[in-house]
Amino acid sequence: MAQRGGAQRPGNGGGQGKICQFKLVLLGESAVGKSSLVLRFVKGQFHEYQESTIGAAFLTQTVCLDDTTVKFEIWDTAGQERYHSLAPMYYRGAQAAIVVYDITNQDTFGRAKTWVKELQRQASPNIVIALAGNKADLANKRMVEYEEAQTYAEENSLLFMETSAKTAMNVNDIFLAIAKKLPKSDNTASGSPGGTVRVEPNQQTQGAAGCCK
Amino acid sequence: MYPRSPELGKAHLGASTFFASAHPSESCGSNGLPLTPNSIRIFGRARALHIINHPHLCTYVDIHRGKHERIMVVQEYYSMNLGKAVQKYEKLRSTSGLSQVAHQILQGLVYLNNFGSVSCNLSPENILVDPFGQAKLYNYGLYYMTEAGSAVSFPIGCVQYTAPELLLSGASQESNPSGSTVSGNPAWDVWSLGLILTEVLLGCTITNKNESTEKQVASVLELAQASDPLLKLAEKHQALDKLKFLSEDMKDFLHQCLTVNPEERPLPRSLLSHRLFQLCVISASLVPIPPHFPVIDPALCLVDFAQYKAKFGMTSRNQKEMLPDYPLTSGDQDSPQLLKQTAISKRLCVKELLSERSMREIYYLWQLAGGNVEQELKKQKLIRTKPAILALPSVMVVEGEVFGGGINRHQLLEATTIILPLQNLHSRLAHIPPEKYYPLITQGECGTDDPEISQLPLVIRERDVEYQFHRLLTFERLLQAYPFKADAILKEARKDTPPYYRALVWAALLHVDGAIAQRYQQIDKETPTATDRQIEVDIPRCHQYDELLSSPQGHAKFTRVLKAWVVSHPHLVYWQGLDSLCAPFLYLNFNNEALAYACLSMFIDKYLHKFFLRDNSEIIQEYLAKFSHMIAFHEPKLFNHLHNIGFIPELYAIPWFLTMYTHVFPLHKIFLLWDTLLLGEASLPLCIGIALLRQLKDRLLQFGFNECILLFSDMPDIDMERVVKECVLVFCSTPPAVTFRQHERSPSDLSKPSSHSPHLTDANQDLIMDAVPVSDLKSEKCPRISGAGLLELMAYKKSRDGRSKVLVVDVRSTEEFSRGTLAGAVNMPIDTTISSENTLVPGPSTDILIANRGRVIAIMGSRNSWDQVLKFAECLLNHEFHRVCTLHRGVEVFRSSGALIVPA
Repeated sequence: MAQRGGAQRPGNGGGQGKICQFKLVLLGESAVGKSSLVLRFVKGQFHEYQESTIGAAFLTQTVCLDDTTVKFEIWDTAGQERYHSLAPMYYRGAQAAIVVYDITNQDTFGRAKTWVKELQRQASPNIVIALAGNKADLANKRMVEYEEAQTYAEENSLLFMETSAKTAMNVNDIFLAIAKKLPKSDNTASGSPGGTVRVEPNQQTQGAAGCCK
Repeated sequence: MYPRSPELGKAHLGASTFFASAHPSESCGSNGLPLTPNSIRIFGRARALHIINHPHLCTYVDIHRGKHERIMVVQEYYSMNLGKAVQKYEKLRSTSGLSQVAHQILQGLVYLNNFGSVSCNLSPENILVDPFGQAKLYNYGLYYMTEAGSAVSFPIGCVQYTAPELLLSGASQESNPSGSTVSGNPAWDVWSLGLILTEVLLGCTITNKNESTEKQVASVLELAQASDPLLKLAEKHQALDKLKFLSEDMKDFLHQCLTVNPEERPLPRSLLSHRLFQLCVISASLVPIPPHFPVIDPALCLVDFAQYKAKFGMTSRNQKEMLPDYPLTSGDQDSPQLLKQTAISKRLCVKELLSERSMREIYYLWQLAGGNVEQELKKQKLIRTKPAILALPSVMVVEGEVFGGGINRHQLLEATTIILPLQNLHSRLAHIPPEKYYPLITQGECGTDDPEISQLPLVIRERDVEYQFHRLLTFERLLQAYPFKADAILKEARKDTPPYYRALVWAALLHVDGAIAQRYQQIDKETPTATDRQIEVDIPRCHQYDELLSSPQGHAKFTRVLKAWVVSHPHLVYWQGLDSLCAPFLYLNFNNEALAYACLSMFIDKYLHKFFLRDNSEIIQEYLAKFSHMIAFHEPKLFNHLHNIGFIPELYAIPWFLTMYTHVFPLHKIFLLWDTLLLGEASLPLCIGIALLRQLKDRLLQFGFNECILLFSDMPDIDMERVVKECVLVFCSTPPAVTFRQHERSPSDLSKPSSHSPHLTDANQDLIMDAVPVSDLKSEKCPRISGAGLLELMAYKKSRDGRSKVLVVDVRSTEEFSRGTLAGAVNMPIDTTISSENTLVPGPSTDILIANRGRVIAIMGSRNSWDQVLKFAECLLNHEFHRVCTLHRGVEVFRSSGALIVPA
């Protein structure tokens, strides 16, 4: 049932090349499937009754891309509008963001647009933003047209895919697409020995956290 | 458990089983989630039947789900049914006897109608007769729990007694399985009653049971076409002479019952005043009494007149005559020859005593004594296990649907009821002397005080039938005396909370009182609000592994309680997490939403005061800062490690505190945790956090940031009993000032002196802990202690074995120190004790500190050089000194108290 991820799945394989670490944040209205996407990507699992996220949850996953190992530090945020005030703490310093909406719910698409705007305004300028239309397995209940979302994504130069955490459709692909698009030049992903720089929510911005081991 | 069920009396516990209809595999609802299994729908609905408490309705004791959508029902049961009883007892056959029976059945039906359902399942087999000749409807809840039969694939009711209009509409009913609102027509049951009575009076059987269903349907429809069904029946069965001898009243009653047109057929309610019943008395209230808290024993409730009448007029069992030769024991009891005479008499005695306990209690104890319904059903061949190979489907389509190989159709509903053997329970409790059944709570007599058993681990105590039996007796009494006995409840709950009474004990511990049902009723839970969408998406993922909370009934109740809370707390808002917080209360009070709501409100008010404000960041920040202080105070090594890797409480502890761990643990662990949490003060959750960290300490110390956060995102198996014990220890070793929060609910009894220290008078406001800005709290690593708290700790020294609990370190210069300090304080001027690299300078001071490791080390300095105090404290923390704290507002607080002395 639960398919384990695709061919590019993790691990220590690859090995010989560079190792890059990126901070990625998931944003979007509640119950669109943010946690499910992460769970599918990281553990290859899907829970029909995935619990709501309070505050934020953190997971990591590594993908291999040619000779580079990309390690994602994934911050999965709470969807409720009220937790909005906490969000900057999580997207601050993120190099990538996935803004998720539910294709069966037009409102969640509207909310996704607001998130994109906020990220463009307040997150790191070079942040890679991907738009994910989740629950693609429920295509017969579709309320947001593929073309509509794609047009929007093109206008805002976002990566765009329709995904399904349930069937695993496009889940690894969207993370891989982000990994490809992320700069792996030396200044963001160098092999400095200083270890990772942690973004501490209660402290001032520390800038990009993309460092490597 | 709640509400209280009737006494066991002479009843048996009967078990029966059936299958809910299975969904084809892989079917999803419109929201993309899998369809709720029908057995869960049934399970959720059936819970409401527990409220039914009527002398002419058998009590629904419990319901279980088995594998493959199997449902097992435990009900009050008697070995005589109407069919058998009228053959054995002339009295019941007579017109007067039978009209009594009819009157009793009608009362049961009216009660059921008032409850909101119909039986739709009347037959001579489903009307039981107890040893006192009282009629009791059995299996009447099937229609209700299966949502009018839509959750099962067999028809409900006995064909030959089914009202004709039901048979005619049968086909259309089956095609519409979504009927979620059960109504049913009460007149259906009237037809069935009429037929059953006619059968007895005419001494005939309408149709042979072995006849085909088609023939049975045909004969019912044939009756429906007759202008006078009664006459038609009599003609058909050559019983016209018997019909002639019936009294006019009886004939009229039967005629009315057998009215073909359902719209003209009278309802049970109106038939209750039929001439036939002139001499009959109503047995009990005809309206279900909603559960009440504080508990009022309905039998003692004089307000309800019907109950009053019932208590003193009709149903007192002792005054009633038993039917002669009533078969009381089930066949399978062990033969008396094998037992010694004394053992028999002892058992009889237990039986007598236990018959006064409520059925649900007996059933609970029976389970503790090793009873298991599924096992019993298997033993008596009601559940047959089929070799797996025979269960393989014969056809399977690509979509996943299977055909054949499933359950045989005739097994879907097992008509037989088995009697649960209570002998095992009787012998387990045989040696308990009768006086123990009536503990005298006013004299502090609380069941077993056997020290041996109270020392055993909780898991064992919770499964020990004898221990739980004593606990049940004690708590039953105490709860009946709530709120008067609130203190005694607290005292007993400190030992442990019996799971059976958890709902009520928690309510008592939270001081729930007053007209909660009315208050809840008045709250508007229907009008749409802006929060609805959020609640709607959160509920289907909140503790959904639980059968009760995942049932449609559970969702509906969840929504109502949450909406009620949001509406009735206009200054507070719904934060995600409130759903988890509500779950344990809803689970425990599934039949009493008002109590769930009241408990939730009280709980939030006490433990999560202001947490659900629209802007709660200040409150959460303060809480987390205090938690960080607690880690530093109790676990300096861990604190340093976590601090170094940047693993701060903000990243993991928000769901811990915002949901009081309900988002972190499954329900059975939450129960254990909250049993203790509810005993303590609002600061106890902080101590629980420390206890949790302690249990994971070894791993955390080895882990880096990522591993740490992964550990918490997938909470490992926690030994909750250890956490519970540990958190109490943490609490006891934490001075109250350390956990002081300005946003905590101010205790109503604030005037109560918090300290016994002779130095503290009301004038000494300086000595009391007060608010510290959150920014300061966050920048300081160690907690502060108040002057009063420090004096209190020092006072311990004198009363204990000379070893002081606290070491006061005065970090001012020697000159200032010599002008006046606390008695016993040690002077360690910061310049000479701490090096420029922030390490301790070896020397006598350091030796003293090391010698005092483990005690509270209070750093005292001047208010004006607070930096020194902080620096000193942090240096000690870096050296992994336990329990380092700083004196809030400096040594100056003691100026007016006279506590300062000139050191010798």
